[in-house]
Amino acid sequence: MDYMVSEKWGQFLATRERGRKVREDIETHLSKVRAGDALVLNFIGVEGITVSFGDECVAKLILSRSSGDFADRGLAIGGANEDVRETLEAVLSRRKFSAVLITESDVEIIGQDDLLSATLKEAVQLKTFSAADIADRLGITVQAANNRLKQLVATGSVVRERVVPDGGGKEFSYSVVIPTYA
Amino acid sequence: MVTRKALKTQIVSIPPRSSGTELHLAVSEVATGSYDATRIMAGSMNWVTPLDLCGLRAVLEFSALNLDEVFFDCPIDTSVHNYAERMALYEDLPDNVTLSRARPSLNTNARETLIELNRVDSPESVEHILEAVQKAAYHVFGRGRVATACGTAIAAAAENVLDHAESPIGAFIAAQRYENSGLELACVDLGFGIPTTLRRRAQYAQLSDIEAIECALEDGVTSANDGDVGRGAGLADLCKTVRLAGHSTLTIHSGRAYVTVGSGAQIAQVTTPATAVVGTWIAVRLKP
Repeated sequence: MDYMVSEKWGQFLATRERGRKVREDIETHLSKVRAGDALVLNFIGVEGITVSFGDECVAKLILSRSSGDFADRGLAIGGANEDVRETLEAVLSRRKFSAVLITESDVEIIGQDDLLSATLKEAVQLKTFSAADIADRLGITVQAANNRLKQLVATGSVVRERVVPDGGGKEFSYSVVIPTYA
Repeated sequence: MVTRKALKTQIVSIPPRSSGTELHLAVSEVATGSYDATRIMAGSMNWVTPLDLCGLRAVLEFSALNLDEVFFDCPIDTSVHNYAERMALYEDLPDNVTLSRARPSLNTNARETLIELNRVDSPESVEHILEAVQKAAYHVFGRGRVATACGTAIAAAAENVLDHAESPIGAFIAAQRYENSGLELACVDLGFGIPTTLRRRAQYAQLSDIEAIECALEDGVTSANDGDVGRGAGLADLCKTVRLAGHSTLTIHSGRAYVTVGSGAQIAQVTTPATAVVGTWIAVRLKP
């Protein structure tokens, strides 16, 4: 499902007040997305945004996701021109957050990267996987894989659900939810 | 028989090229409440910058709010008078402001080279500024990082006024694109000013006015008490824009501090004015 930012709010977006209103509207739409699906914040037609708008709208969405809100459904950014992308990079980096940007030919991490791009690349190939699968692919410990996957869940590119493995106990299963890559 | 009260009138004389000091002083004097009326004598002005326009309008509005009558002696030079009209200096003035000359009637549309005076008092007005400045900056720097930074930085300065300044007149923003000297932008409000606003936070309470402005130019410094790491980008972004744009300067007058930041984002000049400046007066010159 695409959330068309410019159709609802205009081509130039500024202020924290506006950012908060847009975020609250996006959260309403996110609450209607089925678990396992994703909402794409489509910035086609948006010519410019301010740092304060980007922080209040997008960065705080990521902040709430890192606290566990809407962790069972995905979120990605699409249609951003260079100006919008650059401002979003700045606001996310300032908070040490990341988000997923869908471009015409690829999917990228914007903001603080810290090896997330490599993790996302493996995740996109696996589609559904466990932390152990990622650890194996990247040659890292399961603990390190868990830490990276927690950040990927916050970006909205991956969702997780609790599963009971064959041998008992509990673990998380992860699935990529970015449209066209899921 | 009706007798008219003699008004105690303040006289503000603006030289041919304003330094801004006389406007700062005019606001301070009006704020003391010693006058009933003011006469702003701008007849000899032969050059008007965006900062002058923002400052003049701010003085007119502030005086109209606090005094019974405001007289404005318009520039005698017709080209300057016409420019003031084109920049909307005379548009929608309060009822108690009287102009010495009739407003000129103009047909020209120079929107690609100028951004007329805009009052900032709502998110919509900030978005209008963002759009106008970003588009004007495209003409100077082309599409890309610098033009984007110009728009977002000025919009951030405008938003600071909404969030922190509590200016009785809002803020005024204007811009002009020059063939040789690039883009010049100004933002004037008559609120608390940067030093007073920043000192509300305990950790900045001991700073002098100059130190407070220098501090506010650093990334992440905010007067918001929640310590939110996403805040405090406005003035720092203005600084970054000056650095990105090349041969550029940022001038801030607020409280008892005049601070100029030059290319390279280094503080180039610091002065302590004799009288505290009410509000915050910002001028930016951006040249590739």
